[in-house]
Amino acid sequence: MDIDYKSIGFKCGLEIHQALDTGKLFCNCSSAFVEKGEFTEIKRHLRPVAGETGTVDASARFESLRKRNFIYHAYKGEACLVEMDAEPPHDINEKAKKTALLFAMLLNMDIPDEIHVMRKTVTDGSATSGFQRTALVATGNDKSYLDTSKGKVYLENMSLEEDASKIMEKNGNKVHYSLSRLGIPLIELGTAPDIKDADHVKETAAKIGSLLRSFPETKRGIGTIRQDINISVFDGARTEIKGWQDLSRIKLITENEVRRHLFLLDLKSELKDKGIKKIDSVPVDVTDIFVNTKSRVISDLIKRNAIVLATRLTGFNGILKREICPKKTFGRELAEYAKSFGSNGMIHTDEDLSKYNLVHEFNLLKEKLDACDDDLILIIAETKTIAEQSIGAVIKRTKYCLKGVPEETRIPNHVTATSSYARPLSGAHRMYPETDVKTMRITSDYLAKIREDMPETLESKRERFEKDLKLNAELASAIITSPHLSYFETITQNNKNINAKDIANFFINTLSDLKKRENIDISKLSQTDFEDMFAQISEGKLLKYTISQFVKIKVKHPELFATEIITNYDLAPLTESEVKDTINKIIIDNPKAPMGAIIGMSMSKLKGRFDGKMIAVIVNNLLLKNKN
Amino acid sequence: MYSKKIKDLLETEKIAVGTRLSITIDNKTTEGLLLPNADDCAKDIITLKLDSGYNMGIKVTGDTTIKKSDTHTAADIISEENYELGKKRDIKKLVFDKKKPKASLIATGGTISSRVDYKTGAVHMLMEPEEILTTTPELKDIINLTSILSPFRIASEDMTPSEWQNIAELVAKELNSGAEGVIVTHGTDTLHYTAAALSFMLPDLKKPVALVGAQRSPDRASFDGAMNLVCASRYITGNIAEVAIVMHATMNDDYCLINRGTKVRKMHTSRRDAFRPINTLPIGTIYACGKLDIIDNHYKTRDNRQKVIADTRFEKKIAMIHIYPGINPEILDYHIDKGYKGIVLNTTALGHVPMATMDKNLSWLKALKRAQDKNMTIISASQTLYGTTHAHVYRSAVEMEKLGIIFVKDMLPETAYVKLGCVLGRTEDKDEIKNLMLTDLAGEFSEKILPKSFLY
Repeated sequence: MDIDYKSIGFKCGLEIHQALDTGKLFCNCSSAFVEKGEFTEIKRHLRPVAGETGTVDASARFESLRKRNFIYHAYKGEACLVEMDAEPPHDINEKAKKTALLFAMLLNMDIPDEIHVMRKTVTDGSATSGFQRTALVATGNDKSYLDTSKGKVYLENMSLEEDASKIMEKNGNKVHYSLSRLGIPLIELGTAPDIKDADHVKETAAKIGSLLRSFPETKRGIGTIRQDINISVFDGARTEIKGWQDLSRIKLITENEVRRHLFLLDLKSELKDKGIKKIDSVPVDVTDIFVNTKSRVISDLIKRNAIVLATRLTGFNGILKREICPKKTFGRELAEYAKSFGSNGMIHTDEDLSKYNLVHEFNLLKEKLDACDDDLILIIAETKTIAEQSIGAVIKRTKYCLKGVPEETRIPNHVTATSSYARPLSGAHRMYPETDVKTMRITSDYLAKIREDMPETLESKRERFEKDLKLNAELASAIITSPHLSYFETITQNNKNINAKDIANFFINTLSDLKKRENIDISKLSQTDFEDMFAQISEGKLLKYTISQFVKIKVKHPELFATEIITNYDLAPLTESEVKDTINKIIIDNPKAPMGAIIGMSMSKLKGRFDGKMIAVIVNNLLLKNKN
Repeated sequence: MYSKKIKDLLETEKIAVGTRLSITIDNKTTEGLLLPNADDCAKDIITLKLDSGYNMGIKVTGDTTIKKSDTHTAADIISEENYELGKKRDIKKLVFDKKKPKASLIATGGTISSRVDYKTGAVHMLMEPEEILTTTPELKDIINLTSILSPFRIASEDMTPSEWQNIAELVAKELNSGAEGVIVTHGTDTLHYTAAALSFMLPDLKKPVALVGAQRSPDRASFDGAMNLVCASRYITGNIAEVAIVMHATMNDDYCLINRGTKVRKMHTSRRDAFRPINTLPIGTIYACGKLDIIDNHYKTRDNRQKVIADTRFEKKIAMIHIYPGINPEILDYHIDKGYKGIVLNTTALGHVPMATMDKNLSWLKALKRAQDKNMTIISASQTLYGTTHAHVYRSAVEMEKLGIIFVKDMLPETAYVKLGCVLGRTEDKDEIKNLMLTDLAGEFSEKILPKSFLY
């Protein structure tokens, strides 16, 4: 069923995070994001922060943090003492700052007169310092918007921040992080909630992505651009899906999230209709029922000191089976709250209990918890604290069913395009100044000076390629998003006698054919290799018909110069008289062959060293001449 | 401080720092909390904290209108106020267990007690010692902190011998009133000077004293001082009756080194494991869980019955001069003229100063002779740090020794400076000075230097 976005009061804004390839934001390490080879390991803990007692119960926070060991992998060249939180940050990366400010200007945003770098508290271990450095570099105004097919999408704010470490492995209380990503500059651009529907999400994200890629400093490839999607519907609340990476399926994750919201709102009214005004579930220790269980899962856990806690959800029978969005049941959704406290999940009466060998025990539970057929029973078996916290979280979440959609930050699953609970939605982040980095005065003179380096947008490039280089619309669109765009531009510039269409065709079609059909590793070729090849074509020493062959040889023998390839592998174009001689010989050798066969034989003999269309003409002429 | 123009504007509108205001320029209004003008900000720019938490600066021009804002204060900003310093009510005090060993804490300032004022963004060294403890609640499982003193709160670069004397007196008082050990929190820049000072000023110490600093402040979740404090509290409940710096052993949050107060030096400006033993091995390593591994068993042991008397006599008219190529001896002449009683020369390698320069004016021979005539005590301690001085390998040193310069072997220059002050405070007798300077008073000499101690 299609979603009628207008009638459900859909509200949506995006936050785009684009990584820059300028080197790291506050040190001189590479922004290549390599996680290979030699590395140093650093083990750290994080702590509750002094002065935090106002809002957070320090000892509870302490307990939750104490158990976690963070292990950081520092790969050679990718991290220094700054990433290890063992040296103060250097001055901000000027190139990254300039790129962000140019991007802000391109979008007509306002740039503050003074930029302050802030510390944003993060205690999940992803930043060794316990905070992420970020600076507001632009704010929106009535002229800063994207023109889209469904109206204006206003841009609200832009910041330049450092990326966090990437989690490598989570193993019990040990979390492994790689420092390679920590400190890579990110441009974060937030839109107003002006997005109309899921298609529009994709259009908006694509548009921002394309503008960002107008800057050569932006990183390309998977994970270098991430979208946070903020969604709400009428009567619901805002949720934020953090770090979506797949533009082609951004529509699907949006739809799935909307369906989840609608499910929760429907559930709310259903419970209301059922007359359920309060959810009075309480956890009950039922370990005794499971002491002699035949269920392997539970008996193993009990052997390892687990207790079993159960609770009754009045009127919930059947509800946990339902799909909250495609490919995900409400039961799985609820289990995620338990998992966030370290448990492995839960077992409940909306599941096939025979597969756990627990039918008997649940019958006993039904009696013990005084449950009727309309009720649901769930259990969590874990060590005491984990079990208590987990079942508490599940009950708390269930209670929220009477209110609707909880405000949450959610983590996406890129395979199913669904999202899972991560943490409550944080309000404005508690930020305080990064006193180790000096504030930056941004004068109008400085802005005027950097504006001279404003890149041409991809959109205007596309128009220019169509108009000046006579590329058709399809080819022009393809080349502006191609990773070889800069090669294309240099080569067309340097070889004006070659038809730009042939050059574009080579980068868009020939290369991808070679890669896909013949598995040729074109990544081995550098810009110089391509430039050399086209220089040969420009000088008439190589014909466009043989460039596939040329590329294959070059990949296999990277040590050979272009001229050597042409000579050693007989790729040099032939003169008309050489062609005539060859064809004449074929005609003489095959006196009885029909014209088609002669053309075929000539073609294969002269493979690409002469214009194919001309070969047929020459054969025809020669045969006619011989006849006469 | 803001420029006069801005100050006048704010005064007319009766806007004080911390007030929510709206600034309008070209029809665009920005709202936020007025922050004070930080030191590195331009004076004609107003700093606002926006509701998003970001700070930004807005230039005030002729067309700028500034008004108090009557929109409600964002919830996060209200809670920001709770982080303002000096509001003691917000500090939840740790409750200690009376059954644990009695201990005292002397907090003197430094990174370990600094944090940003969340509201204004200024860095303060004014934290209540109790607030440091909230970051390290496990202390209550180790010690019973009955006395928390804060005689002053200053950065360690601002410490002077007067503060050393003050701390030494307090330590002695606490130990004599029943504390099993004392933790002194301190800035790290000159922590090793204070460590040496306490080592010499508490000569008959029979209880542990731990000096602890931090390279990351407690407003960061990565605060390294917490583990240092935990390990220090383990140390002071133990049996080693020495003044020691107890801080990170490695880049990891795994264990601390127990470094003797006279043989330790800050060897890195910013790493957690900056404090390294020089020309010796650490006394041992200590883990947060209390595991203690002894590396060098030459240490005094606890004797709770014995009182400690602080001998804080100190001659402050002393100086330290770093020797470098081209150094003009008039620097020494200056000190002679000013009546300095003693000088530590941070000499090159085995203990040399320039004595036979091509330019005769740059030779120190004459100035050193003059210093000798004026009865000044001159110490040669090696700026090379690792290894010992030696008066007989090269000729210049032989000549220096003839002039009465005291070569203090493998003693660190900083330790030599502190010791010189203490010795000159105790005696004026030339022979006794030399004798005391060369006698091991607080483990400042190594009997032998083991190869493993280099770059430990």
